[in-house]
Amino acid sequence: MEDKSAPFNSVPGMDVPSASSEEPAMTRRECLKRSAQGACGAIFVLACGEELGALAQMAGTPPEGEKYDPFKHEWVYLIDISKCIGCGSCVRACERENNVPPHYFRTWVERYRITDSEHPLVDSPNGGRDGFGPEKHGEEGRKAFFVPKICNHCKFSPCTQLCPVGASFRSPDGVMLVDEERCIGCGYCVQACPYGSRFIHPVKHVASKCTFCYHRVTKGLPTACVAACPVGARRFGDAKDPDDEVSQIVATQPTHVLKPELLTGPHCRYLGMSMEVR
Amino acid sequence: MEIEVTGYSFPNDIHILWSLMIVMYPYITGLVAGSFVVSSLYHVFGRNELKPISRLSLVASFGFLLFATLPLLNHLGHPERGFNIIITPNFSSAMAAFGVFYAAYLIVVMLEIWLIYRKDIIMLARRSRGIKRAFYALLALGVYDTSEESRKLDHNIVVVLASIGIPMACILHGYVGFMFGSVKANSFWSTPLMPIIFLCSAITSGIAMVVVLYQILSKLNGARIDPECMQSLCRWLWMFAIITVTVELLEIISLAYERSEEWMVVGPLLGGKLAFSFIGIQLVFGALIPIILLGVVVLMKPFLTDPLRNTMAFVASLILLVQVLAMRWNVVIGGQMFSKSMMGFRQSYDPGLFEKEGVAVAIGIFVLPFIFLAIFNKFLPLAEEDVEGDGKASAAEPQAARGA
Amino acid sequence: MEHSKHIWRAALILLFGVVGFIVVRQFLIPKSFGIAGHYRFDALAEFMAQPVKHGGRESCRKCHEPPYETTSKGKHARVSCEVCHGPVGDHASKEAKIAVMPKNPSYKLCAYCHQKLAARPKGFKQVSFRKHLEEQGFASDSKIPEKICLKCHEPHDPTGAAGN
Repeated sequence: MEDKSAPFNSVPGMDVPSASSEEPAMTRRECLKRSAQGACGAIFVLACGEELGALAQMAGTPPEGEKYDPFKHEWVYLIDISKCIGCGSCVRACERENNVPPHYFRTWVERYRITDSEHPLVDSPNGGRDGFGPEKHGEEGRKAFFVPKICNHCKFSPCTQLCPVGASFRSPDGVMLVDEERCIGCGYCVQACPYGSRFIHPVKHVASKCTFCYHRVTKGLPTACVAACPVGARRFGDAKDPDDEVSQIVATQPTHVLKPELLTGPHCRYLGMSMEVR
Repeated sequence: MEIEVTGYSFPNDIHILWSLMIVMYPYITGLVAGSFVVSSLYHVFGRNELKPISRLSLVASFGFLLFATLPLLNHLGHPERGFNIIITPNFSSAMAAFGVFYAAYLIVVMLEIWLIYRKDIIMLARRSRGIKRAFYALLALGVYDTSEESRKLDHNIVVVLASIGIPMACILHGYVGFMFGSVKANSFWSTPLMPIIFLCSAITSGIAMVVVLYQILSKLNGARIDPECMQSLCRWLWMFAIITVTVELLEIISLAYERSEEWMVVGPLLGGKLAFSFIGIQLVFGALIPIILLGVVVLMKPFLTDPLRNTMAFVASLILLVQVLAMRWNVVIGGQMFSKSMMGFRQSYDPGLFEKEGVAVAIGIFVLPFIFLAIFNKFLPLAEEDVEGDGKASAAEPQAARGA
Repeated sequence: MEHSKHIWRAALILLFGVVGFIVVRQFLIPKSFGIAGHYRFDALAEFMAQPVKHGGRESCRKCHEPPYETTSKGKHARVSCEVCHGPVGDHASKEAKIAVMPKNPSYKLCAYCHQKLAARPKGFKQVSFRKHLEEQGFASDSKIPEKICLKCHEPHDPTGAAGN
């Protein structure tokens, strides 16, 4: 049962054949139903090729063959503004991990300097990728801080709502993804994202965005930006795991989201947020 | 990379994404809806003085409809996947409804044109030989029935189709407005007024286009421009121009009066980067002048000679066509000029002449419907004629009849 | 209705068109589409198959025990090796070296974190480079030498025994 109906098994390395070509859709639909009931359990076998398996082993994470069930997780992200030092390590790590094209950003860091709260000084030179230069004299601001930004993976996301072809979607584990094989590149989702998290990939001509490092988190690894953060300002957790530290903080401490008035239901929470942040 | 932005823009918000093509798309769709409404004024609402342009406006609507998707396809990153919109439409998306509305509207307009021209087609088929005869016979679907009963049936169906067509044309274009009006991330677009603004300006542009086409067609055919028809068109155009400008201003005024967050960035935009196309073209040149001209035509009817009325209507219509284009530009491009950070402007956008989504391509796409109309006119007359069932050749389009 | 023949013919053509579209559409919908929502479910597997590049500190340890140990004891214990050196995926594959790991000796690398900025948390160690160099007795001319930080600080343990 498990081997026959698992959509994610036998995916060798980077070459990903459509698992569905082998099985009739009915069986899998049935299986999914059962999976939701817990009968099928972890039918989702980790898509880990030889090389990836080796790397994952080196990283001390569960080896190849470990099963991943997207219905059993709900990923959340937590950013502590008071800890961020604005080094841009996250931006550089994200760029390398996900081959983000230059001058486009899946994550970026903004610097806020506030003396007059109606006119805060904000900058993000090259998304903070190359660090921040020293402030000019008189522009330090009475209150100053860094705000790391990523896709908020909104529960009621405007971007997936208006994708005309179903290429933008919310995965069962709460990650907003773009199917690069179906995206027509209309750019409507880019217009619809209130946070500026999406862009049209200049080479692939499809919408591109933060994936919560789906290839990493499904293997038990933290996202590249979380792994790179030297001060623990970025954290990653599972809202469906009650013992998870991040999900506990989200559940018990005052947190904030960006543009709450839009009611997009962001899965990215902020600690120590200031009202000037947009 | 030279980046010229003012204030703070999100780093992914540097460029203007939707180009001149997305300006052309609602413009052409607006002409579709507008000219259909004009034809319906005759077919459904019994404005008999508009009979001379009832065919022309319907075929014009069809012509623009045929090419309305081109700018959109040209803009897509993957036009070859464009059909995904009808294969797996996501119905929570305003854009996905496009496939359904477009196809349904296309069918309605095609059927209506076919029924209206069916008698002409049959007569031309009877009169022609060879390939031409086969072509007309195919168009007639092999049925040569011009009896009184069949004509009556056709007429009844046309009325039904035209009645269905009005809400469909309104939906087709209202949805374009909704596409912008429902983007809550962009507060300049996000207003329930947007579909209404788009619809009113669409009808304005459609009537203006029919005025221009009618005058040109009459010149080419050497036919007289019907003064009652032109007067009526001017009256409708005047009314819709006034409504259009009113709702356009209403949106801006309420933004400013509410002193909403977006006004902090939209205000400086309209007075600064968009001042020329918004204040200059959309409001003063594009709206004030034609409204005065049309007002003269409507209010001073007894004092006007036919050539004077025609000239004033023609000029006012051309200016209104520019006004509507400017309005599309100000909404589509203007709405993207500021970053969603609400703290800065993006790099300014000037379409190149020969780039993929540039001015030359836009003009090329815009010319195609007119070429279609010219070809259509070769086979079936655009001008309205009063032919009874006796098979007399049309006076307006003798070529088509004598061609055989 | 003897005079409605043409209408029936048109309706038939229309019907053929609609049925034809519905049939063709069935073949064009991807097989896994709509299993768990309005999207192609197989896309998830494709996202999972993307290669992992950053392996984390532990992945470096196997071959680079000494710097791992040094770093673990010092102030940079929470800084992953890959933050400064780059992802392990570009350097090793199946535990074999495939490319040289870049070393960036420039003071600019240190400045990413330690340049004095008003926006940084006050407790975080940061210096105004020019002022710091002057205090340490280095001539502060117009250009700061690239490797100046390494003269006193061992990057793996900047304040430890190896430091000045």
